[in-house]
Amino acid sequence: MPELTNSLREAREARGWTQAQLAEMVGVSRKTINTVENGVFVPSTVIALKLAKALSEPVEALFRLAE
Amino acid sequence: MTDQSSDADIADRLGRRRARLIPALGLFFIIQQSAYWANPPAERAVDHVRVGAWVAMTVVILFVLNSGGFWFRPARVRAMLDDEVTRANRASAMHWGFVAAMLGGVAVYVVQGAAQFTAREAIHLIVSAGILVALMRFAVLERRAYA
Repeated sequence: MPELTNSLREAREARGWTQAQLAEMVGVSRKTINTVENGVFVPSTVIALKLAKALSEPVEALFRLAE
Repeated sequence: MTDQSSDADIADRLGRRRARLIPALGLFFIIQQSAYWANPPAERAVDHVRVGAWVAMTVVILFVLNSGGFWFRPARVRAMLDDEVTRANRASAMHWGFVAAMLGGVAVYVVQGAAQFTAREAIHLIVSAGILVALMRFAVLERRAYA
């Protein structure tokens, strides 16, 4: 069971952005976005904050501890 | 912005290529091992070439694992190829490789009474176990990341 869940995909798709577009805004690779969305990779605090900033969401709205 | 997008695209393409090529590199390394152990090197000139080829292959794989490869690409592309996910995958691969090398060393130590290994053969076994397991672990994680 993952320790962290996220709603990154939902937030990105709600804006009509592709993974590549979000990756470019944040300055990471598309692989990073893909693995975070799929729960394969838990990003660092820096990347989580950058994602939240790019999506104009508080970081806790994107990432939550799994119940 | 255009350059940034272009770099990201290049990094994505190269990263996928790396994920495809690493298993092939591992397979080549295994084939090289079977050739080595099927006919262990003696002191002929051709044997020195075979040992040299193994050393060269091992060093190249180690550098690829440690740096991510693509050394002649622009720094920004290499930075994207060596992102957080890749670094985490590499750390896991190196961990597995270290454990495999240690277990290889223990195995060689234990069976030394039954099977006589030369120092060169023992080192070959231990290094190859570590390199191969690290390479395969990195390949699995990278391919999963691009799935």
